Amino acid sequence: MLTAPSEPEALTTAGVEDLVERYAQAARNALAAGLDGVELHCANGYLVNQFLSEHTNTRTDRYGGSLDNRLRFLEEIVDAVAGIFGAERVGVRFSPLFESTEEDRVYLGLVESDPHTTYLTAIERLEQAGVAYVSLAEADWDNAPDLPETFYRAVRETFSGCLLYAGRYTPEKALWMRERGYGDLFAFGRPFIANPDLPQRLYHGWPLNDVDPATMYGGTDVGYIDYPTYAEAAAEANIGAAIDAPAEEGSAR
Amino acid sequence: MNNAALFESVRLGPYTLKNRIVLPPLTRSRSSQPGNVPNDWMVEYYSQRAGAGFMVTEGTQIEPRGQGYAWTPGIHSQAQIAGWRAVTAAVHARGGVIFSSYGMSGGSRTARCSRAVRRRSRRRRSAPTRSASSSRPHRAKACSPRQANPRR
Repeated sequence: MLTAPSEPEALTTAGVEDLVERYAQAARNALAAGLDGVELHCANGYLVNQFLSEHTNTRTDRYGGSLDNRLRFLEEIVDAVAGIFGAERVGVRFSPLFESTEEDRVYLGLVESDPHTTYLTAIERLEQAGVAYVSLAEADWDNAPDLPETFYRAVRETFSGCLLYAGRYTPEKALWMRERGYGDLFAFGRPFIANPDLPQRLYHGWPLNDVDPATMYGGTDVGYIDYPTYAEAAAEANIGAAIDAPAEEGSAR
Repeated sequence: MNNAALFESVRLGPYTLKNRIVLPPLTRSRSSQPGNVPNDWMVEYYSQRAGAGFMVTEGTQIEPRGQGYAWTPGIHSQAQIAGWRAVTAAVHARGGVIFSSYGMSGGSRTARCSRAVRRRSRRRRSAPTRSASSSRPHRAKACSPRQANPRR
């Protein structure tokens, strides 16, 4: 059943200040829930990205206008969450797109007129704040471009904590980044949906299950917790072979 | 291909991670209704994937206005905190390290940074099409959330 979304409304300045406190409360909740840290979602055209972006931030208060002002909300929530977890247990995720695509997905992100400067300035602030890592979500549509190598290099030179990269990564690309020292950690989203034992499969060179797009978003436990490990799939195949064998010999079942 | 480099341990803040392979935030929309509460399925899902050197939860809303998609879990109610506690306990039992990805979508339901880009809002109200890997249903799904309500 479809419900019409309500009309969005711009936050007031007081509303922004209130939100900073809600980010802090969420950190207290995460701590109580046993989480090891917080990754602030500042990517994909969502709220913090809307503050950061010259395209979506048309505010006239201290949270809009110059790049400094557009970074203010990010800095305030980093400060608030670091106050609860410690900066060393905080990460920040961006989607620093350098190109757009024909695909009509608002949540892909926003392309700044100068993404290099915008994001390096933001990352420099995070270096000063001492956060544990910066996570960069690269373009992940079919045949999406890599980020420019000049950007990979500049990010590494600017930030001394961990750098985590994602976006249709393959082991080959991760190793390429690792060899050049551009990144420290590498995420594999869709492969991890379909392969709960992804690290083992990569380690042994075992084949990977394909992801089923139809069960990625919403639904039941099917396509969620029933992707087999390599060992489970092999055991299943052996059981299948044992059941088939008597039939092939013509004996009744 | 020698991928030994992906299996080096690495320090992240106070944590020593067992490899460089990460489970990133992945919206799966399986939380229990009503209340967008983490449940036994989510405990099992994250526990199964705790071989990752580092894990980040699916994007989680910090309050109801921050929810952008159906059935994503929140981190604002007591029930949600208890649900996440079960997830982290299971992950920690398998030696995993797990951070919460959270925030506000700033989408059609919520407070936004600036006045809405109405063109985009209008697109969201039409019935979502099922294109290949990346379309996200905003409200409608073949399965209703009540069918997808595992035991908590």
